[in-house]
Amino acid sequence: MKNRPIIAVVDDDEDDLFLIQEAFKACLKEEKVVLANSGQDLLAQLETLPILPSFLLLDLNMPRMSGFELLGKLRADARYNLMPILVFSTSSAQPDIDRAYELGANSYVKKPSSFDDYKSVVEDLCNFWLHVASTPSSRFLP
Amino acid sequence: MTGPLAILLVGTSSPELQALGQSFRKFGVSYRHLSAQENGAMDAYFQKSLADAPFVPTLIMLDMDSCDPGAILAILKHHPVLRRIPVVIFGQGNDPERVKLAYGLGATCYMPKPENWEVSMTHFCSYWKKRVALPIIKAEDILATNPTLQHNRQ
Repeated sequence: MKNRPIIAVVDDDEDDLFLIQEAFKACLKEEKVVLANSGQDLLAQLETLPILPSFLLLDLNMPRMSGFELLGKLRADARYNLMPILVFSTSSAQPDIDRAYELGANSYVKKPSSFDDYKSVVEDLCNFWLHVASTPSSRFLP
Repeated sequence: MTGPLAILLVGTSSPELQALGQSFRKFGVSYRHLSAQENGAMDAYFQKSLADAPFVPTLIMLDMDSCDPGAILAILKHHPVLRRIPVVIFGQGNDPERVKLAYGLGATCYMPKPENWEVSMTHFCSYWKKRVALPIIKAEDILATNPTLQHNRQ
């Protein structure tokens, strides 16, 4: 049976998770969205997924395990080190942007402030990562 | 919101080069083309040409059909400054091993050459130009990693 493509999101802010989920609904077809509210939650959920997510949206400012710490863990794990990780943060501080790329983020997207902007950002993000780029899991499902 | 998108396009030729150039001009994206006649072209660009022509890319696009992505990524990803620059590898086809290879080398993404460049590049430019915050790479920082060049430039 064909597995549905998966998009993963990790963010400790429930409102942001809700906005992201709603924005994805407008542009996704068959893809499933997996939501995690912490780094630990994401790592636990990744263990159970049948395929690698097409990409992960990663918040930076999270308690207990920061986005940078989680990014480092994922890049050091052979199971997940090819998964595209898109930092999704309110921070536009250049040191954060540079550090994210240093640690192996695939891109850094500034988190929008309104729901209309969320929809438009998520649409651009899906158009590129799901329809233009190929990822290690997105188009070659078992 | 984001810094300027400046693309170094490595190793592609007609007709892709024309299609890409047309898209970049349409979306106001600055770019330079570097023909990859040898695998050291990238090395030469950053080690020599930069001192005279300071076009510092914030994104590199690499045609894996016309150059060796492994050799080029090895240079970039081991460089203290250049390793921050995202590298998009593009090429013919969508073979899973080819895609895994690209990501395994440290590429930001793999992009199969599309049948319709105009549509794909519209999405490409909309994402990379409007949405993505890019690293800031200064020519001085690159030259500082090679004291000889820095001295010659002064």
